[in-house]
Amino acid sequence: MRTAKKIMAFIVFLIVGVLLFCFIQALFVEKSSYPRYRAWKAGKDIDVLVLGNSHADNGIRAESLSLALSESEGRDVRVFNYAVYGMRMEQMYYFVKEILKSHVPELIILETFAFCPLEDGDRDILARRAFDVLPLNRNKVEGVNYCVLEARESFYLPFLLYHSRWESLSPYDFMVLYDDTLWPAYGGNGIYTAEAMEDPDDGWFQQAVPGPDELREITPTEKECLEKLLLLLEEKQVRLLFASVPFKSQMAQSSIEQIKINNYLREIYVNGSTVQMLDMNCLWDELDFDYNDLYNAGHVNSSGADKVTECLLEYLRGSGLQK
Amino acid sequence: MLFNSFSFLIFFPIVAIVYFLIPQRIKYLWLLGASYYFYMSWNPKYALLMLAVTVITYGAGLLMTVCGRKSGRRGRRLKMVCIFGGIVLLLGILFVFKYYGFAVESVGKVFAIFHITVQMSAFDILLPVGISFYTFQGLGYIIDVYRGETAAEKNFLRYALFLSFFPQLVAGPIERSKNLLNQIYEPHKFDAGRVKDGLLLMGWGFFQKLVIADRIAILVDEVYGNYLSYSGLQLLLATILFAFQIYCDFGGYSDIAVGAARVMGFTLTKNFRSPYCAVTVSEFWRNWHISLTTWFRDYIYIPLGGNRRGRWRKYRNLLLTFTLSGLWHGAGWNYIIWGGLNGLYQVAGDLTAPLRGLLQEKLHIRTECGSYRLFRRLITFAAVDFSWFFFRADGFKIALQMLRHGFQNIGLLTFFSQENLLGIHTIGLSEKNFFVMLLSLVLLMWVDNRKRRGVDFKGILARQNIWFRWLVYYGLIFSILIFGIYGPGYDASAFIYFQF
Repeated sequence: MRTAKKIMAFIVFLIVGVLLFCFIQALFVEKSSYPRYRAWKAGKDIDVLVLGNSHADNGIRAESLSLALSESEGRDVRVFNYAVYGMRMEQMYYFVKEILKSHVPELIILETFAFCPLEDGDRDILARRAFDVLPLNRNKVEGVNYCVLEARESFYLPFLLYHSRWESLSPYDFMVLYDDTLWPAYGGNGIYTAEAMEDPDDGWFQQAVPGPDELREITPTEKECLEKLLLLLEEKQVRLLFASVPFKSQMAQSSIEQIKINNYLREIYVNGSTVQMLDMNCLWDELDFDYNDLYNAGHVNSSGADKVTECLLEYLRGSGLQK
Repeated sequence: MLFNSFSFLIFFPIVAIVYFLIPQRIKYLWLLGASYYFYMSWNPKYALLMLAVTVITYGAGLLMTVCGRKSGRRGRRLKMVCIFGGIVLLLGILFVFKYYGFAVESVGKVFAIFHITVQMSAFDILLPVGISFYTFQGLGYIIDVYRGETAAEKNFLRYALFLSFFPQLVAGPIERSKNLLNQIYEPHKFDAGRVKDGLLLMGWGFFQKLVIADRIAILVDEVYGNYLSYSGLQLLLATILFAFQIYCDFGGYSDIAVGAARVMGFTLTKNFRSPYCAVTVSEFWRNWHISLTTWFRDYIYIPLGGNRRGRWRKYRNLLLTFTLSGLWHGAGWNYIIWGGLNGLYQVAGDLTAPLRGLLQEKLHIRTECGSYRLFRRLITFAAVDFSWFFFRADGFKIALQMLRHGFQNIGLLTFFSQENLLGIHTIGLSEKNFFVMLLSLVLLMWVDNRKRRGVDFKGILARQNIWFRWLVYYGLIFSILIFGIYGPGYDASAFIYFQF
């Protein structure tokens, strides 16, 4: 009897401890992606999902798109911008798998800068924001094991990395756990500044912009994940739109390579029906886009975001959202 | 595999749970396998070295038993050959892996004084973690067998477990065969109270290591690594804090080791007993790294004659023992100086005892009051801490340069300026972290002081209501999780004593 009581007490101690741990973990996790995660979990169906990294986060205004598309389609259309700073293609596959469990959109807009060439060591850091908010389940474990080079345990249990955030905790970290007014209904967490680049011609990198025939293959990992994603979307009858938000082509060697990657994606994967492409980086003149629409070499400012969103809206109106 | 690593958090519960589930007759085999796995997680090749030490000491023990059966001088001579051979082999192994490079460098420097260039090849060899500990444990065993204080162990596997028992393998306590080897034969059933005590002790060890030691290390490493940018007083602050860093690092490790062993039913030697509450350096050494100090006392100091051959022999023995102890800690002149200094303190303390007694009498100083004890504690701490300075510095030459820099740039006015005191975060720690460090140090000293006075914290806690006990347990666990320093990228930082 006494032993049974001790065992019961121990089990209760463990359960309470785990609950406390989960609460503290939710409190300590870095919050840049968290409000969007809560909005996605709590919100109604997503019709158009925007994925990518900071280029998409800054460049595509989900709320404006939602309202405009709802008006033109004559029905509620919810566009959700879940582009996460630094998200990579391999992470996006597992991200989409998670999202498709609860929401099956009609269209996924995938910003192509997610394929930009990267140092291996940076992948772990960039995987952080994508995986931190996802619940610990089989999909996350598979994704972490595939995408992350080391320190896996801090991905399974983000608290291990963020435990020292006690120094920077604020009431916001606590409020965002339960206050749904802090959860952006349409996602997005971009800079949205009116500030423009100071000197577009500072000669950062002088190299000719590649032509449309110059291709660069994506990495084997990205290829594998993209093709798995395409299969998954085909199965769920979800269309894919590759989109490229304008950037300064000559900002670095990687941005030069990105243009070749865009050409590659267009050449190999676009089929005109279920997989399409809108390369806005080739449409500077059409968009009346110039360096005043850039906040810095890689990201658009609010004026640029308006133009990008408008372009996207026209494209979607033209191609239609109906399956 | 470090104690403060994710791997150990998985390894230990599995080992402990399986240990209690399997039959008694194979428990030691399970522990042996787990211990070798634990050691091989650093480098599988290390296990070969430990196996070699095991075979040498096991064989020497048995040979001495056989030789001991032969009567007369022949038997004694053969025993002496065995013990001598065993000691030479073990010290030889230690010398090759730990001291060869230092010896080559030192010989080269001596010859360089006479402008003679000596070419001696120094091979690049990785120092196996914990080698000093298990080698000394093996040495202690064969000496005990030689002296007839313990019988040679016949079961090789049980003996191998004695040498490789994972809680104390890489940083002690250095166990005597009379203690640990006998316990391997005893049955160990699951006992909830004992397991709880063991886990609490481990928790306190993790708190000392992760919350206190690793936090102080940030400031100390910053100052010692860039001493030219800091004033003498800042160097002094770092040195004072280093005393607590090494105490919490090593003491914390020992508590984790003792606690882990206790969970499984083993009682290891208590390695620290509130050492900074000591009023003399001798008392400090009776309470610091007790297993090593007693090892040196029993196998070096007493065989040299101890204090039984006159006063000057006693001083010689003290200096020699502590210098050797310094050398054991590291292959470097700064460690030798550190050890020698501690020996010198005790010699000086003994020499000046009559004079101090006379002064106390003439000046009517009350020696039993709290203020006098506090004064003596501070003096002892200052003396010990000055020796820690040499221990921490990256070599004797650097230590001298640091001392010179510190005295030439005391920085009295700037240290106490508002800007400096409020800008403490410029020495590596943020203000909040500095505050946490101070608070946890106060807690540590309070606990140590209470324990010194015989307060049984475990007993007091056991008598409280369950909600209070759980509050303490959760407080300990979450303070370790939240305030623990996990290192950059939360890479587990190595225990200081692992380099030995």
